[in-house]
Amino acid sequence: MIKEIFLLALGLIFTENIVFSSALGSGTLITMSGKTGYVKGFCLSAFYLTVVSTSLTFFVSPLLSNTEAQSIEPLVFIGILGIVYIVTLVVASRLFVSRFERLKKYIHVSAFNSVVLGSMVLAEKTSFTGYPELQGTFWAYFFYGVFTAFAFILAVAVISAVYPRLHSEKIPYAFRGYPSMLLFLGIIAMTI
Amino acid sequence: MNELLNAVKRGLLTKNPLFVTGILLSPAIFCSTLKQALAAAMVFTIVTVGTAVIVNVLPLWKLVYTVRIILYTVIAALVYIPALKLSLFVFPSETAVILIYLQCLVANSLILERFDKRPFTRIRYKLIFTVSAAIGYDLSLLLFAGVREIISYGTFYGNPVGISTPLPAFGAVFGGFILLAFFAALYRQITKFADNLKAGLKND
Repeated sequence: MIKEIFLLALGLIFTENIVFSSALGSGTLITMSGKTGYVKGFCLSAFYLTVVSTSLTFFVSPLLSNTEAQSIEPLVFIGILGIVYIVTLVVASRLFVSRFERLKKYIHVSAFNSVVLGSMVLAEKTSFTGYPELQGTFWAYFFYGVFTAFAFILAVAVISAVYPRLHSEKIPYAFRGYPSMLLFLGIIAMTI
Repeated sequence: MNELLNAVKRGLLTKNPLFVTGILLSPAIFCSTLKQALAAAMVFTIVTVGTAVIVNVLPLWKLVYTVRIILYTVIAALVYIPALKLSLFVFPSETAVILIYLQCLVANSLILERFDKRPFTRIRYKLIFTVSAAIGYDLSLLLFAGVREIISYGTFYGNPVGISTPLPAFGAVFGGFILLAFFAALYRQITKFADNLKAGLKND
């Protein structure tokens, strides 16, 4: 099982990175990477929400297996995410009384976006055929969430590291900022 | 009247969700043909505008942020059901290819952030801004996908256009990022030129 988890990690973090291979979460990545004082809290919160929500997808997966259910899938995922979001806020307000106001901001921003939702959708669509020991188990969904969230954090770290350079005055006005970030993402995606 | 024009201008041009702010990137990066882009634009418009209209009618802004944001996404997920059925009817094969991206549209930033936080004094201006931004996104998505299809596959809406050496790499995800970078840069250059022209006319 360890071998399969390792292979799943390699696949999801590098070759099938949610941002670089499918572009999911790229808008969130571009929006968040410039907010230096915000990005760590956002990433931690997104990590937690992605792991918990994707893990819980395991329990509704049998209900969504037929093609008739594809139109209600987002409603089911939003239901799970909404419950996780509210429970997280309630628990955080009890456990971290003094820091709750700060925590609340991160939870609000990271709850509903294409990274968390994308991870749930992709995990539900993945058959895990290359991972016979993980296939059909709760752990498949759990690790899918862990490694997808980690892949997103890696992408945020890469973009945040070059953010000041991509916004430098030395770059021509037309390409400064957003266009050069897209170019950078494209080049990284090409190497993967 | 100024605020109304401002809402339309911001939504369509100055805060264009694809070429300027990049808040709705993933469907644009993935859709490499005009038919796929049409399917995405159809679902996106129905989900976004439909949700904004319903939110505009119901007094949801009186609720606390946590409840409000969940209700926005639940409404979007409900509106998504007929939108997907329509898309599957009109573009069955294209919709199946981009299904993952369509599902993620229920949590798009235009509904969750931009609609909720726009600093317009009246709720109907927020609605006008959201509708303008949705139209702006659709137009830019279709333009981008149309040009991308010609460059990548030498076709337009599935019909050959006589390009002997297409560049299929631009149909891939990385090609989408790179091509969109050039579109965004060109858009910025054009808007700068237009602003300079306007300033020059005012001075004269």
